[in-house]
Amino acid sequence: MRLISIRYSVLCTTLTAVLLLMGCATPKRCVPLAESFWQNHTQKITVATYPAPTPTVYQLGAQGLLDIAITSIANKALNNALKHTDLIWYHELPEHFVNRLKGQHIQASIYEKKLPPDRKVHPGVLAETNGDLLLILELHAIGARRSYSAGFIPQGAPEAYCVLVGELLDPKNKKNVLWHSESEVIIKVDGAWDQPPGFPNFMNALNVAISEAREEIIDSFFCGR
Amino acid sequence: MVKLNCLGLVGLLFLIGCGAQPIMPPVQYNKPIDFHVKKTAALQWELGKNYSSRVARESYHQPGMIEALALSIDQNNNPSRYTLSYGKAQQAIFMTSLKNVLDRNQVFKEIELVTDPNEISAKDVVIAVFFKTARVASPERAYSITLSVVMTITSQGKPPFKRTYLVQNDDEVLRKGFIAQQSDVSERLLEKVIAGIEEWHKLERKRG
Repeated sequence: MRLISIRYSVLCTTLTAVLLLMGCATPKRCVPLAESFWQNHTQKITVATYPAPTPTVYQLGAQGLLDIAITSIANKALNNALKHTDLIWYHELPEHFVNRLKGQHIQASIYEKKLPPDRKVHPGVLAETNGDLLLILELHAIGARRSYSAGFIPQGAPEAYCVLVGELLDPKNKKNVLWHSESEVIIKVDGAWDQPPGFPNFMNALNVAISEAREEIIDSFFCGR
Repeated sequence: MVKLNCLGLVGLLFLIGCGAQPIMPPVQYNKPIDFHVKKTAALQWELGKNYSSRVARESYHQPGMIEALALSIDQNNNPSRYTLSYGKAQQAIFMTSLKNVLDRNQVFKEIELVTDPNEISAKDVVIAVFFKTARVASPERAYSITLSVVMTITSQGKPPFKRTYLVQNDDEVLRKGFIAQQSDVSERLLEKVIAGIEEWHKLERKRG
């Protein structure tokens, strides 16, 4: 009974990962931030984040339920190691944005709670912080990515994977996305990857992926500053 | 003999054609530039990290078993043929285009393009363009190109002027092919870099 329950939970995690990756497959329009944004020193920006996803192995390729079950068992050790990924950098990201915005003489504050995962922008968020515009940062995917052919045959070693999405919204105008950027970083592992239980080489690659995705989303927003 | 040579040449050209990566034409910049700096300048190109993307097998037609095996062997033997990148060749075209635009509009008294900082002869201004990362996204993200570039302008006795630019493909262009994507992202970067040089010039004039 317990075994069935474990298998079911592994299956659910993998299915969620697959669905998440399917979400990634439809990239939104990239919207660069207008230069006029930096001239308005009266506006107040609220910086908010969504809850971080659980780091996992994202499986690519056409897979049936049996294939997913087989590959999930094969990826169990890596999935366990990924659970210990340090996500402090993500929780500290709003503070970095606020400090940089203040450095540009733009008023900014952090929305201390996490945004609800239903992806709806609630007007209460801005009211709580007395803000005009909402800057949302979202860790969309983090972990490993591995392609499979014929259902369960890996096409290569897993690669470190991190996707960060940033968006600046004007809630008064629902369609008004002032800035949108997606940073998808895929890093190959240097040397052997299959080193359970800690997977040190893989974790090094993941740290590079995180660092580059973080830097890219910052560079995108503060482009030309 | 001549026939054999011709056949050989056709074969060679075919192979070069197959192996070559798609590369964009010179980058266009058609906006007027109305600032001029009475100084000589060196344009220094610095390479950074380059991340390519492997073309998805699904992009081709559905191959049979033998065809799939042959394709797999060819992919392993000729990885560049199945890889999309914004590498040295594209960056060289960008830098040459930037130099030509600055030259054509007489922005500086004289400008030369260098890759080695030791090569820079006595110049009043050095514009260093560092391609921090040049990334081609995965097939799921339609091989979108992201360039992260740091431009540092130094002139004698003045604090350096540093700007970071990140440009990405417009989604509209993602359907037009990889050459169009290269041109699109390069044109965006060229606009930013020229605007940055103008901003530096205004700041220099303020400082006197």
